[in-house]
Amino acid sequence: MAEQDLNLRDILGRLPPSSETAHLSVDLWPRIAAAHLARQHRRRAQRWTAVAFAAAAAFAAVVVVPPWLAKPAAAIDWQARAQALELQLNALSAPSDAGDVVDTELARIDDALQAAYDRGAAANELAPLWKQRSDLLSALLSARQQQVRLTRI
Amino acid sequence: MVLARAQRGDMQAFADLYRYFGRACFQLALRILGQRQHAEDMVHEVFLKMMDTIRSYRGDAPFGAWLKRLTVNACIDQLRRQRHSGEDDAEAVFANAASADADAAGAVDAGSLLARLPPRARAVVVLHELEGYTHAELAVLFRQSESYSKSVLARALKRLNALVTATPLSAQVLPWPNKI
Repeated sequence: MAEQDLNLRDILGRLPPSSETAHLSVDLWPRIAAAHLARQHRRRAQRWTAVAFAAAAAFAAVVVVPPWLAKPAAAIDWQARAQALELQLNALSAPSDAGDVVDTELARIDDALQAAYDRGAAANELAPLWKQRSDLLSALLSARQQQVRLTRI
Repeated sequence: MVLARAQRGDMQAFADLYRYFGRACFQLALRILGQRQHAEDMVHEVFLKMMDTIRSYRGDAPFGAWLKRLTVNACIDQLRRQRHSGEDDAEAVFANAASADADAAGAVDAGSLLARLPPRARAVVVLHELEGYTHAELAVLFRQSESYSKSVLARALKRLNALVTATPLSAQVLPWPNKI
């Protein structure tokens, strides 16, 4: 058996493949080369696509997205500001000739605010009134600090 | 130098490498896989892979040995893809191969002799007996134990011995073309 094994290995080592299968197809290399070039073109196209996509994404990030992503300007709480100004005004001693104009204007705004609250107005309707009140109080505070009198033009 | 040009992606260098190694690659694949079409498909696959990965070839081993390793790995992967259920067992490798002995009295050459073995047994015989792979290396390639390839090899050699004994082999052996 051992002798047969050696013989078999020797035979296997010397045996040629069948003559009909000894040669490669002549068109095998052209097919391999064509497949390689096609893969290269495909990869190059994929790379360009990726680059174009990245460029488009970068462009969008720089030019398009910020306005959408930008946080809206922080809404000013005109009501709180007006109330704070009123406290500051109250802390100052009122001049003897406190302007009627200012009182009248404040009264008008307060009436408007009251009416708005009474009819259940929305916040976007109330905010301009509170802003008017805040602006008026701010001007009044500034005038009192500089000891000048507010007049309406 | 051809290899340096190939590593730069030169198609003419790849063509030269194919001219030097294509046939050897094909014959090895043919011996392992047993079918001409499968062997050509393997050469196609191996050369495409070689062209993709040749930049990673550092020259630690001869290029021919590196390419042969690529070929063997691709062939074993192919056998794994074709695997029929139960072929992880050496017994099952031979279970459906009985009919292969039917024309044992026919002409014998390497192709027809090895073709009478089941695919995995043929791969084990070629790699161990002709290419010098150890059972430890075969175990890694087939993702099996060493005893698996030992068992498959013993059965395959027994079968081939029976074929050789039944055939007037000395009159059938064809010489290598390059020895004429």
